[in-house]
Amino acid sequence: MASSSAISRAEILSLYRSLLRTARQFCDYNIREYTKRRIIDAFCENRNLSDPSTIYAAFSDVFICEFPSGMVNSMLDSINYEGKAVSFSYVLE
Amino acid sequence: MASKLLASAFRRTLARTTNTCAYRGISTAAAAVVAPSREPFEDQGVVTVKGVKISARPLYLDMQATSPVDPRVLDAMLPYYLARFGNPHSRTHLYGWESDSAVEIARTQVADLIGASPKEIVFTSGATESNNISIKGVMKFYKEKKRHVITTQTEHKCVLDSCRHLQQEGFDVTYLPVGNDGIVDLEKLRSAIRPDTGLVSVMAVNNEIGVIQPLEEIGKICKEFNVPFHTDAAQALGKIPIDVEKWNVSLMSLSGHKIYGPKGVGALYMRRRPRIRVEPQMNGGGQERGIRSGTVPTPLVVGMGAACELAKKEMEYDDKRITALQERLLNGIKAKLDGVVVNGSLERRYAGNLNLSFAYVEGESLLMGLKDVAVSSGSACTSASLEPSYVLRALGVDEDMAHTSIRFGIGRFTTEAEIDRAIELTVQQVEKLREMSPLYEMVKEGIDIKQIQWAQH
Repeated sequence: MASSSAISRAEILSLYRSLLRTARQFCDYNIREYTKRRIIDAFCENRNLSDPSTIYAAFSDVFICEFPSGMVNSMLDSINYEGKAVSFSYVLE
Repeated sequence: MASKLLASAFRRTLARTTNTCAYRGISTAAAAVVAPSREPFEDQGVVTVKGVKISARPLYLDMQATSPVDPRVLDAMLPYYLARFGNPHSRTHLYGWESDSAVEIARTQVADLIGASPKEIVFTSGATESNNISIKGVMKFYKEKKRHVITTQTEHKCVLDSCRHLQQEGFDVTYLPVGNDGIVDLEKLRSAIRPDTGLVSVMAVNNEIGVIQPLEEIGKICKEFNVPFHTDAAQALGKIPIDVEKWNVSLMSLSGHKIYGPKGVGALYMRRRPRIRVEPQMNGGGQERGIRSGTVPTPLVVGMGAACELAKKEMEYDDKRITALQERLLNGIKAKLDGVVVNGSLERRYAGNLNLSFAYVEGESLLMGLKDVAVSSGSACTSASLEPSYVLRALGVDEDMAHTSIRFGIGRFTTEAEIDRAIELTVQQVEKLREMSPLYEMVKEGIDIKQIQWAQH
């Protein structure tokens, strides 16, 4: 990994905040609580990483971060709406 | 792109209707049984089902029956329902090729979790089918030389039923008894093995009491006598570390919906060195190496693979959490009630399964009172009948204690608040029933229940 693609603290914090914001929107109580807790625990566990390649690996390991945030909202809405998941995944192709 | 517009238009329509999401916190399937006169704006979440009013959806504490699908698993499955819907056995076009590669990736993910090679995994419709293939398939393949099967009394219904079917066809079956803690006695196993024993089947983690059998030792015994070893690891997958080499298993049944994957899919691990042969129970086009013909359901299999990969990553985290929640539950109940017995060994146990018996309380009424908590007494397979579970009977539990057993299942998505509420409700219900119970009055006065001579009316 070239050092120019090193991930800044601001990026990590912004990912953390946007993940938590997304997690708060789940309608189902269990999924919402689990997602919030897991995000917090995962970031706390990784807070002492110093090697840039492991930091990069941890940063990209998040499953939501590949989606532009607009898509995440429509995905959540569609899952929340009583399981009537719609073909939002066409967007990912 | 046109589809982005579609997504944003959909989002706008949803924004209008999403405010009813909070009121309609029930699935469309449950909506079908709810009385149509329910007012959406008063009594938020009140559900009337089968004449019983519950204040909201019950807390789900029945993870051994089934588990919710993890959203990450659902996300992995959806493309294979919508865009990449090809049949993996179509070899002539892209749809088939991409489905096939997805199935192979899922196979690798499942194999990684158990320490096997992908070539040894066969996808089936569930652990029940895998158990059937293992038991009936192995014995029918080797029916000339091997006529004896050894299993335990606490196995899952499908294993016991397959053995009963084999008995009707003329095979001999030995049902090994278990001790009071649910663990099979290794000396009895050793003495039960005969020269014509074709299979030993012992489940890894029991679905009702949660005890973990000593599989390494059983594997050693089977290796010594050169007998194939089958284990039903449906409840163990993703929860305890599994290594097919260490356990020396020849066949292992796996289930998708117990590890936060979809229902309707499972797998069978079949060892290649030394190769174990089975007679296929589903005949057809020779898919899955001829062991299980039929189109492999790509989205389900992809879901199971994703669930296995997740389980591998999250096993340690989940285990720590679930152990803490189990202690919280057990201590919370024991602190407020006496006469609480844990069925099965407390040391050799999977933490997410807690089977408790409450003395001087009747089981049916306890379950009816616990309507805000979704728990089960006995396993889902036997809960329809009125008999106490055969597993508890095999443990040597008294009839009255076997009737009042409740199984709490804790999983990845259970929260502390749910556990606290479950403790509160259980304690409340048990105290209410004990207050009404004349037997409990007699016990409090010091009369020994077992010495009473009941007069006939």
